[in-house]
Order: sequence, then structure tokens, then C-alpha cells
Amino acid sequence: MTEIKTEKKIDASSAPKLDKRLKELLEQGEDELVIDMGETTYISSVGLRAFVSAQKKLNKVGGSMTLTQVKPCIMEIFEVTGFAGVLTIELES
Amino acid sequence: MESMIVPASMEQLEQVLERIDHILVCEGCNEDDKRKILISAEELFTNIASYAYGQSPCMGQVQVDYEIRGQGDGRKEITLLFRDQGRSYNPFAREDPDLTLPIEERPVGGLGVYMVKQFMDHTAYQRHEGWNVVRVQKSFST
Repeated sequence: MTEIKTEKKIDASSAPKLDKRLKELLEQGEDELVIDMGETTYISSVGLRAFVSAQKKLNKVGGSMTLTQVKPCIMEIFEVTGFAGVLTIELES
Repeated sequence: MESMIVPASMEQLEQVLERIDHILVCEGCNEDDKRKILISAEELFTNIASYAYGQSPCMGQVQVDYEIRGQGDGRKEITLLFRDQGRSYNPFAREDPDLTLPIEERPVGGLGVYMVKQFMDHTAYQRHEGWNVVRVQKSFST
């Protein structure tokens, strides 16, 4: 299991770094990702695509990715874009 | 209406978003609406920077116009216009993504514009004298 923390903003400048990190972990064979989103209050489509891409790869190998500590404002974005049902999301406690 | 004109490059995105962020903070916009307006601005600017001028070595420009109007009852409305002289393209003509499809079959394109349509109150596109003009508006509480 590998846990990573996302930045405050997952936008066009920070999302490529996140995408690269996720791809590296998956290439190394990691099949259990925990993403701590406790700091994140902004995510645009480029960030959503990074998560979707990782989730698709994990689905193929029977792995898992859990987004944890997700703030309600970010949950709203997952809901609006229809990803709330296809990603594993735990709201902040 | 005030304007900023910048090269249609992703390197300019941060500067554009910072300006809009600053205006919204000064106008007392609440965090929730500010986030939605900034995400929408990011998606629209990114589209222009990525596609409007193709691979042309002569980089085109983007003009971003903005205006805030009071609506009474502590509410205000922001109008944002994104103008470019790239190829004719109406981002809002695209069909909305099918959110019921399983993740494997879901196209990832079109997601940004879909967010803009969900987050802003009004979206409009016009091709006018060689310009693409994208207009979005959102009312917010202060």
C-alpha cells in the first residue's frame, strides 16, 4: 500500500505531477493506493482525468485506489462530474 | 468592462486565474462560488491555449474581459468573456458526457466544458468578425 497526499490545488500546473506520480507507482506494480485529499480544495478536469486514468488501470489488475479525507466541496465536484459512483471516496472525518 | 490580453499559452493561465481570484476576493465572493468560477475560467482558458491556434508557431492571443455587477440583496454577478482569433469553435455545442457509462467506456474529453456548464449560470458562444467569443456569467453571494 502506498499513500500520497495531494496539494491544495490540483490544477493545470500541479495535476501533471500527480499524474506522473500515480503512473510511476502503478508501473512499479503498486495495486493499493490511498490518496489523502485532506488539503485539497480545488480540482479541475485535468486532475479528475489523472484519477480516472489510475482507476482504469487498477480495475484491470484488480487493484484499488481510495481517496480519503475528501472535503465536501471536492465531493461536490466528483458528484457533478459523475465520478462519485466510480471512484472510492471517503469524506473527511 | 476591464480586459487583459495575454498570449494563448498555458504559462499565462496562473496569471489570468490570479487576476480573477483577486477581483472575486475584493468583491467579497464566497469561497464556494469563487472555486466554481475559477475552475470554469481554467477550463475555458485551457481549451483556447491548447486548441485555438493549433500548432502555429506564431502564438495567438486571448483577451479576457471581466465585469462585476451588483444585483441587490448582497448578490453580485460576474461576467467573463474569453476571446480568441483561432479556428471557429463553439465549446458548448459539444454533447454532454454520458455520466452513466462505466468508467472504462467514459470519454475523458468534454469534461472541462461540462463542468463550466454545471458551475456557471449562463454560457454562450458567438463567432463574431473572426473572433470566438465565449461568455459565461455567475451570480454569487457576498
